[in-house]
Amino acid sequence: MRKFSYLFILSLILGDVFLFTESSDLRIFGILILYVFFVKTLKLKSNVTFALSFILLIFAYIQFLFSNPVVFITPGAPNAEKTAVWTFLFMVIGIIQKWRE
Amino acid sequence: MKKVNKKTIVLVVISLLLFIIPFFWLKPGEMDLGGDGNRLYFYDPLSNLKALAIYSIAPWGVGEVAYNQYFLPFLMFIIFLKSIFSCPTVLIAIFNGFKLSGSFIFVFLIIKELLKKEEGEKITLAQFCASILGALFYTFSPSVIENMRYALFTHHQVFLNPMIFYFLLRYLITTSFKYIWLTLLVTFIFSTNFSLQAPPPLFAFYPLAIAFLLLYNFIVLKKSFPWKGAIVGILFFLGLHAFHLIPVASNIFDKGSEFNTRVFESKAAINSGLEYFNATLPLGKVSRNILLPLENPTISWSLLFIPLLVILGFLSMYRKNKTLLLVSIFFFATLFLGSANITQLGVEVYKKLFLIPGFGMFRNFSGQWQWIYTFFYAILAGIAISYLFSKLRRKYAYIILIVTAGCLLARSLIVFNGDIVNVFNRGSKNVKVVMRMDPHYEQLLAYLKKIPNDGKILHVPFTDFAYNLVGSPNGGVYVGQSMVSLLAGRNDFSGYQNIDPFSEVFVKISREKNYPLIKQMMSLLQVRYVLYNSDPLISDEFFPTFPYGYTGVPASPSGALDFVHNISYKKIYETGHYSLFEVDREKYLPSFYAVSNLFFYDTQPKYNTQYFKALSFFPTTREEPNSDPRIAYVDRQACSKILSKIICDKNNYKQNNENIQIIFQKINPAKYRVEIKNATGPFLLVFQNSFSQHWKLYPSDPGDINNITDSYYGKEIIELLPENQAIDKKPFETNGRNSIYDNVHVQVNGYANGWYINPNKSGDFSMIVEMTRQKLFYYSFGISGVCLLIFILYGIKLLKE
Repeated sequence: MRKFSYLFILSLILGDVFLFTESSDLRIFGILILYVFFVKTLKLKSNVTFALSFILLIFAYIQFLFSNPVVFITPGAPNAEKTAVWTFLFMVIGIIQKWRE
Repeated sequence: MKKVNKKTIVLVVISLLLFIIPFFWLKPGEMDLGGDGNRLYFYDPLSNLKALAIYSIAPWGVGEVAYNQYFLPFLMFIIFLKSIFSCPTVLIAIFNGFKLSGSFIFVFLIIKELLKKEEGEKITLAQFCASILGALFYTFSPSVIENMRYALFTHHQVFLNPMIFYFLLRYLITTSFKYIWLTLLVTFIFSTNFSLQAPPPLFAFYPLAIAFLLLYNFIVLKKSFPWKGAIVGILFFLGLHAFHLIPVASNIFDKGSEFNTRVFESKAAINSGLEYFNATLPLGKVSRNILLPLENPTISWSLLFIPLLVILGFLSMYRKNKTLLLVSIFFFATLFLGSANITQLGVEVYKKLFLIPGFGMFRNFSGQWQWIYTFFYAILAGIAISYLFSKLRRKYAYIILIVTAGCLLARSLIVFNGDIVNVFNRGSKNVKVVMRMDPHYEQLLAYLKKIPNDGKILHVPFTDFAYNLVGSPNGGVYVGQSMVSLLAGRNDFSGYQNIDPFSEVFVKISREKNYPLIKQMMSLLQVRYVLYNSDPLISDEFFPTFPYGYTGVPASPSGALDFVHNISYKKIYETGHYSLFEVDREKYLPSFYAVSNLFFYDTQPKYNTQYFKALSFFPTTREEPNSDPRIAYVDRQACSKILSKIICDKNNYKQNNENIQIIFQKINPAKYRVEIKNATGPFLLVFQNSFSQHWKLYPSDPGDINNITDSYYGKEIIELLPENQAIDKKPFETNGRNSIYDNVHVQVNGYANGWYINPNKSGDFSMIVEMTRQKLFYYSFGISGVCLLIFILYGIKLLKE
């Protein structure tokens, strides 16, 4: 069940990054609430959250390398940016978890 | 003999290497002085101090009130260094060396301090390696190295911030007051970084840094806060910095002042801070902040190392570590402040921050928060990596250290080959920033310093900004604030931004080539000289896209010369590429004049802004070719303060000023002596300096009028040789006297001071025209002087102990 929860959350995030051009708070906070629900019910440790951040960081980095630099100074959120925001959010959740552990 | 620790040797060697590197960036005699915040103080700190830092009047444009005294200790420090190392190239290298090695050493010391569990404990090899890596990461971060070119004086924060943070941290740990003393000493010397005139860097770093230290003290150290020392330190800080803090703080409540607008704009109809934030929002990118790429994307594959190691550090932390968690909180907070674009909710919350008075200073959010963000990022990296290293075998830790440090150094190649400062000027055809001073320009500056009158200077070519371009024998060009104002101390107009309120007027009439109107405008701005620079290197041929193009003043040598001939009368001086032309003296309006014809106008709301203001009145009322140029434009609302409604409702009002004689002498930029003779009726006295309610008239005794330097309008205006006192010999001579004509003090010509004077029966009287805010500086300076004395004595006592 735990493994399913990581993969499910990761696929939702990748779906958000690759399937939508605009970022949406509804999707972001929906996925985050679902993840927090998994953390509570499945008692996921902070290391799981950091591991997810780790994967997201690598994704963000690869996307950053292959992005046109212009997209970083123009409106809109390139894929690398969306993934980086997810990395940030998961690191914040990881820190909060660590503080409470 | 005490054995020197190997770790100390490594640390010293790295610091020394970093300090030495900048000495190879520039060849002897070369300087990089341009940019928005010039560094002319490296070239001639004494002239810069005299022109800029003593009087509360800006040495450029129309001489607006400006509190630049915060430069004083810093410029004195540079003067001291210049007396030892006379070459500006060496001085520049020393300061760049401070930036690199200071950044490294103090970030290292902070990480080391935070990693130690108790005072006196030695750090492990893993902790040492991680601290080195964290410190190198900070030193070679974009906020440190990419801001070296066109560096503002606030860029010293790259080493000052970690240095002061470290001293305060040590104070919390040891409660030894010597750290507070050192902190105060550093803040005093680098007073430029602690001025309210340059608040964003100050307020971006210190409130958060102090919040961190307080939390660290209570949560991690679990000690009571040493209030006594902190309060003494704060009082000393306020006392030492009183000379610049008090004048600027008093300016907060001057309605209409730049500082007042900046602080209270959140309550205004248009929040320019929020507008700027909205416009630059796309620049805030989390990905760039996490990976921190340099502008030149070489070796971008190395960007992953540090963030990856940070997360691995978190993963290898089995037990909760309060220090790391606390640093993380500040890291995430500053990442949010520097990126802004973290969910739409985050952006909306951010926008609400602009309702806080003064928050508008952070409108350039990605730029202003970058230093504190990088600072916490480096500390986080150091601490997190130390956890990772402590879990790894030593050889793996070494490999990671060497590879990561190698990547950091390799991607920062510009630091080692000098390309960090050897760049081309923006908008130019490969014209270098690095320059040598042209001996002819030095001769020109010396000549300008000696001109015995108060006339202002117009530069041709004229730029679209507030820049002035000066070529150099090595093919480089200085693009920055005018050297004429900052080194020769003469008010001048070098570009669109410092010819306000006539900026748009000048654009309009120069595009139309309306030379008579240009000459009339020059009269109203007290322009007596036109400085023509024929150097092809500064022309639009070599600067095709920047900084020329908007104003209609030609930027090609031949076009500019034609323009100069049309607006001036004769050439009076020439050296090298530089020629000084004088305007027609029949049309020149000196610092003071009695108005013969007042023109009234209604300010049009669409033009009621800094650069457009003169469009409300200027081109609409044209002076007749042979009429008396001593005119003044008065807003109808201001007119009602000095004249009856019937007169103000007219288009103009002629006054008989024929017999009035004005004799004036500039004592210093903040004080003039004026004598009026034969004034039989009321008249409007214009003083061609930026309007301020703090310019006051005081009655005085008649002075000596033997040293006449020039006379105008058939001796109706006589100018005495300016004293140009570097330090006012009688700073308090108007104390105890009541200012006169305050209720008839109005703004004229869109910027200048005008007093509607109704003279006494005799018609002869003498006055002192004084910028009263200058006295506030003198009083504050006295407070700082006393505090400095006590501070030094206290330092000697600490040293003895």
